[in-house]
Amino acid sequence: MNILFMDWGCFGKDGTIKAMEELGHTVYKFAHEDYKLRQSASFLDAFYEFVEKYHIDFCFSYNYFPVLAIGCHEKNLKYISFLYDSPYVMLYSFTLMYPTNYVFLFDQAEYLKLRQGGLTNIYYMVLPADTEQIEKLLKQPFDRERVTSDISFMGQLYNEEHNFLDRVTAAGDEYLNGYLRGIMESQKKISGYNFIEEMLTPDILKRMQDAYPFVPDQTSVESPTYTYAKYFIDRKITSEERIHILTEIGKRFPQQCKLFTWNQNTTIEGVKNMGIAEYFHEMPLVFRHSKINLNISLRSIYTGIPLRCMDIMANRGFLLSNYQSDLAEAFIPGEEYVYYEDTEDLMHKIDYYLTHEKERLEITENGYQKVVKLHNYKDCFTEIFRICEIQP
Amino acid sequence: MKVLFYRYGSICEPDIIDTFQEIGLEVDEYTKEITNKNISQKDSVNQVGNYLMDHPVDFVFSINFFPFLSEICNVFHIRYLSWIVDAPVMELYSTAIENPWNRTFIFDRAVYDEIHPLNPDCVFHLPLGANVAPKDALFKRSSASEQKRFSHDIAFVGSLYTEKCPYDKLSGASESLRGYLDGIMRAQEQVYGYYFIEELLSDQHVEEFRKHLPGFYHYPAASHLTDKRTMSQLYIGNKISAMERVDSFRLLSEHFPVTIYTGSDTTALPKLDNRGFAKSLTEMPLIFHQSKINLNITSKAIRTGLPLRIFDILSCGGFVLSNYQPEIPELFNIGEDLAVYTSQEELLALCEYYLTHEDERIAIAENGYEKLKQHYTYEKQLEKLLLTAFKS
Repeated sequence: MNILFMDWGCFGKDGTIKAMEELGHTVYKFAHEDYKLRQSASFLDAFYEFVEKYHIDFCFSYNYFPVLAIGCHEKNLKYISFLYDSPYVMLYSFTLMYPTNYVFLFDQAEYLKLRQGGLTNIYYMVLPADTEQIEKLLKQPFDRERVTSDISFMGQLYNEEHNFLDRVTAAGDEYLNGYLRGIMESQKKISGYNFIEEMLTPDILKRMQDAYPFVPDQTSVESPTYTYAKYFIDRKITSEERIHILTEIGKRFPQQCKLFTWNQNTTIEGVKNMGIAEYFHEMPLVFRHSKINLNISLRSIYTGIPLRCMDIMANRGFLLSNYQSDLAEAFIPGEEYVYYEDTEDLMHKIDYYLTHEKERLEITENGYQKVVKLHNYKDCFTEIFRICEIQP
Repeated sequence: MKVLFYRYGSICEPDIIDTFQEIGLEVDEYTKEITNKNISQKDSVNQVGNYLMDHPVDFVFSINFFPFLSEICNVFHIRYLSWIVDAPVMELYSTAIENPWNRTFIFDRAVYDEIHPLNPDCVFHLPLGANVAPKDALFKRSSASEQKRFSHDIAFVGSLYTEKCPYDKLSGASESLRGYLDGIMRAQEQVYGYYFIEELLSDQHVEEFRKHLPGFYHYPAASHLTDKRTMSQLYIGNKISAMERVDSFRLLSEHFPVTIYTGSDTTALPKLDNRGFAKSLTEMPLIFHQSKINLNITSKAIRTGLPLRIFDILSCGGFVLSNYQPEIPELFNIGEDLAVYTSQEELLALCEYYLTHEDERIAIAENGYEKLKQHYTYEKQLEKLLLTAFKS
C-alpha cells in the first residue's frame, strides 16, 4: 500500500520507514509548516493534493495532529498515530473521535482512561527502538572520552526560570502554595499511582486559575485540571526529583556521573554537565559506554515506558529506572533491567551494580535481546497494521 | 496458674476471660477502673499493689498497656502481659515499656516496629481474633422479626470520627501550614498500604502546629513519645479517618441503600439511614450476621494491622468488605475469605458486584468464618500469647 508518513522532527523516522518498506509498502513523506495547528486550510489543500497525486491508502504519524486527522476523515483514509510524548494535550482534540483514527499510546493508564471514556479506536503499544544505529556509529570515529561514564543521566531538569508552576506560586496565595507543596511531597513518596489531578478539587482549581489563568483550546476536550496537573505540577515534581537525585549522586559518587541536558548553566556538585547529547549520533554511544544509565521518568507518564528506556536497552546500555508498571510488565525486573524504589534504594543499587560487573553485563545483554526480539520496528508495525486491518 | 485480669471496660474483656478459664487458668478480675475512671495513678498503684500482696497471682493481664501495672509487676517480679488491640496507644511510649517483666503483644506491625527496639526481648507482634460460640448461640435464639430488622444491604457500625476531632481545634495557624496539611491529608486518604504522613512533617511544621493547637497532647511522664509522632498519629491520623469515612459514606449513599449504626452526626449525609447506637453484645452480631455487606474502614492510626472489627464480623459469619491493610494477606486470602478495596472507585464497584452476586458473597462469608474458626479464635491467639510470654 501507499503510506503518507507525516514528516517532522520525530524520532524513529528512518527505522520506521525502513520497516514499512520491508513489509511491502511504499512510503511518501509529507511535510507542511502548519502541521501543529488545530486548523489550517493551507495544510488541507496541500494534503488533498498529495493524497491524490500519490494514491495514498493510509496515513501515519508519530504523535497526533488534529489537522491530519481532519484531512484523513474527509477522505475516509485510516490515520494511524503512535504517541511517544506525554503529556500530549493535542490528543484531546475533538477530532480524536473520528472513526478513521487508530491511536496507539505507550502509557496504559492513558489508554485505559480514554477507553473507559468510550473511545474504541485507542490501543496500547510499547514503543519500538532502533538497535542498528549504534552498530553504524561504532564503525566511525567518535569522542570516546566524552561518552564514557560510570553513571549517565540524559534528560531535561525543567528548572528554567519562570517555569509554569513558579508562575502560579508567585501570585502569593499562601494556602494554595502550601497545598501544592503538600501534594507534591506526598506524590514523591509514591510510585505506580499518580493522584495529582484528583487532588485538584474545584476550590483548588479556582485558586490556581486566579493565580495564573489557563484556558484550554476551544476545540479541545481535556478537563480544566489536565494542564495544571500535567504541564505545571508533574513537571515541577520531576524537576525537583531529578535535581535531588543528581545532587545525592554527586555527593556519594563524586565525579562519576555525567549529565547530558539542554541547560548548560546548571551546576550540580560532583556531577559533570556535558551539555546536550545529540539524539541520533551521540546518545546511542553514551548509552553503550556508560556503566549505568538512569531513567527518572517524567511524572506525567503515569505507567508507560518512556522512549528513553527503550533507547537505552536498544543500544546495549544498562537501564536503572524508577518504577513504572508498564516497564515491569514488558521487561523482567532484575533480569533485563533494574528499578529503584526510592532515593536510598537507588544509591544502594548504583553502588551494587558498579561493583558487580558480571551481573550488570548479563542484565544489559538480556534487556537488549528482548528489544531486538520483541520491540524492533518490523515486528511492532506488523502488529500495528494487523490491528488496523491493513492488508500487506 | 492464676492471673490478675485488670479490667477497664474494653469490649474484648469478657471473651478473653472466658477463654482463659476454658484454657484452665484461674482468673481474678480487678474491676475498679470500669466504674471509677477518675481514680488517680497513685491510688491505683497503692490499691493494686496491696491487692497483689493479699492475693498473689502468677501474672497480670490487661488489654492495652498500663505503665503503673508494669512498674508494680517489675517490683513483684511477675510477668505483666498486655495485648494491644487499638491504635494509637500513647502509653506504649512510656519508659515503663522497657521493664524486663513486660510481655507486650501488639496487633499492628507498624507500632511493633516502633516499640520493639525499646525492649527487644519483651515486645511481640500478635494479630487479634474472635470467639464464635457465643454468637452462634445468639443467632439460634433470635426471632424472625429481629433478623429482618437487622438485615441490610450495606451496613456499618461505628463512629465517623467527626465529633470531637482533636485536629479541628487548630486555630490561628498560617494559611501555608493549613494548605500543606490539607494537601498531605487528602493525598494520604487516597493511598492504602503506606502511611507517609510522619515523613512529611518537618520540625517547623510540628512547632507551628503545636503552638496553634490548644491542649496539644503531652505524655504526663518521661516517655519516648515525640511531638511529631503525636501530631502524625493522634491528630492527623484521626482527621484523615474522619475525612475518609465521610467521603466514603457520601459516595456510597449516592448509589446504594446504606445503613449505619452510629452516635455521630450524619445530617450532612442525608441519604444515610442512621439507626443510632447498636448494642455491642446483642445487636451488633445480628447486624453482621444478617446484612449482605459489612463495611470495615480502618482508622488511619492503624497503619498495617487488622482491626478487631474484621474478626468480629467474620466470627458472626458476616461478609467483610474492608479497605486494604498490609497485614490482611498474611492472615486471609483476599477474594476468598473477604473482599478488599484499594480505592473509592473500587469500593463502589465491589459493592455493586457483591450485591448482585449472592452465591459468591455467601461462599466468601462462609470461607472467612471457617478460616477464623480454624486459626484465629481467641483460644488460638491466647495460646500463642501465653506460650511466648512464658518461654523466656
